[in-house]
Amino acid sequence: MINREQIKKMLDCYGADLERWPCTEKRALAKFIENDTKLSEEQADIRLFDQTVRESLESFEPEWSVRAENRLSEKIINLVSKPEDSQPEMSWWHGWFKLVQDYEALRAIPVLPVGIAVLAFVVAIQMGLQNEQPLDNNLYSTAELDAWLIFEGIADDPELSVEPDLYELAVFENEEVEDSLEPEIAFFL
Amino acid sequence: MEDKPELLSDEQLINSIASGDQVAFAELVRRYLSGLVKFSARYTQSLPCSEDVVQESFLRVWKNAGSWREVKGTAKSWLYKIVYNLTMDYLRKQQLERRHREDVMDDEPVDNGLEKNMVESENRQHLHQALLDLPERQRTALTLFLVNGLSGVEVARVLDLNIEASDSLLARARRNLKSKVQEKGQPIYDKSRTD
Repeated sequence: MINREQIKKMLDCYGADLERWPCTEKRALAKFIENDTKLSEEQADIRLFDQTVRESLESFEPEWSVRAENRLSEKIINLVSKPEDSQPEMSWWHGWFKLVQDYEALRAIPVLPVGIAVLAFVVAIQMGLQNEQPLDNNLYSTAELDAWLIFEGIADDPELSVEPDLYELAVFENEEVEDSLEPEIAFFL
Repeated sequence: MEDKPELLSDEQLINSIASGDQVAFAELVRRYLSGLVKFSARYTQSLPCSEDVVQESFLRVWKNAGSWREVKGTAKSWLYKIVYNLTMDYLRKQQLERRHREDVMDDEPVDNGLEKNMVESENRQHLHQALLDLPERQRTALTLFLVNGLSGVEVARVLDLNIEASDSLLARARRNLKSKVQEKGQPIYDKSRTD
């Protein structure tokens, strides 16, 4: 149930024009104000105040000619017609939203289970790739080489795995393959 | 685009712009260009600077239309927010430059071309001065609401406030304006007016 205080607060915030109040039941509000002499006076007062402020603000508005407006409008539109600006930046999700908007059937896809399945698939592929033998001369850390040696059965025991000294490891990880590397490492490249 | 652009809502226009529709973009420019330039010029006091600010704003709308979502507010409040933020950036830059210049040389009188063109009645000037004396956020809230026709929610979006804070800002702006005018002992408006 609306009361006098609430209406007064609305008048203070949104002015006298009930159409601009963010609420339904405007007809009931209008009737309430109409039946309250003090509120009606306040509403009339605020209406006049708003009108005067609006006029004052508008009269101090800069004079901007239609010609200037047309010139700027044309300039802005031409700017986006240039090839480098001719396509707005598309967010990666915008295409998906557009598809969902256009094809209602897509809304039936259960997003969570499908998402989990896709994630599991990607993780599985990733794990598979990690166990692949190195295919080129990319640089590998000793941990990766150890894991690969054990995986391939070349070194059954982690104790037998490659253990280059730290200086050589730094050279190995940062530079091209050098003759100074220990033969175990050079063998696997 | 199937419908005529002038029949589409602002939100539909933004969605079309996101797909690269230049006709929709031209329609959005036609709808808001003048209002946005005048809104920005209230702060910059220079039409050419405001034209630059608004031009940059529309280019941002063109590039980022795809990232606009209705949950972030109406298209209108989004536009005003971009222009407001860029105008404030411009003013901050100007302030820094002015300070730098003041360090180097004496003050030069600022040529304010806008004010020369304004029709000034004494009462209006008085009220306008009171408006200029309001804190910047209060003045912006009142201008957006009364002159640019934004709703309370849209004002909140432009100023990055929640709706309660925005309502209270609007109410404070009205109260302050009234008291500033009354302090100087002048009537705000003529009560005999009937229009």
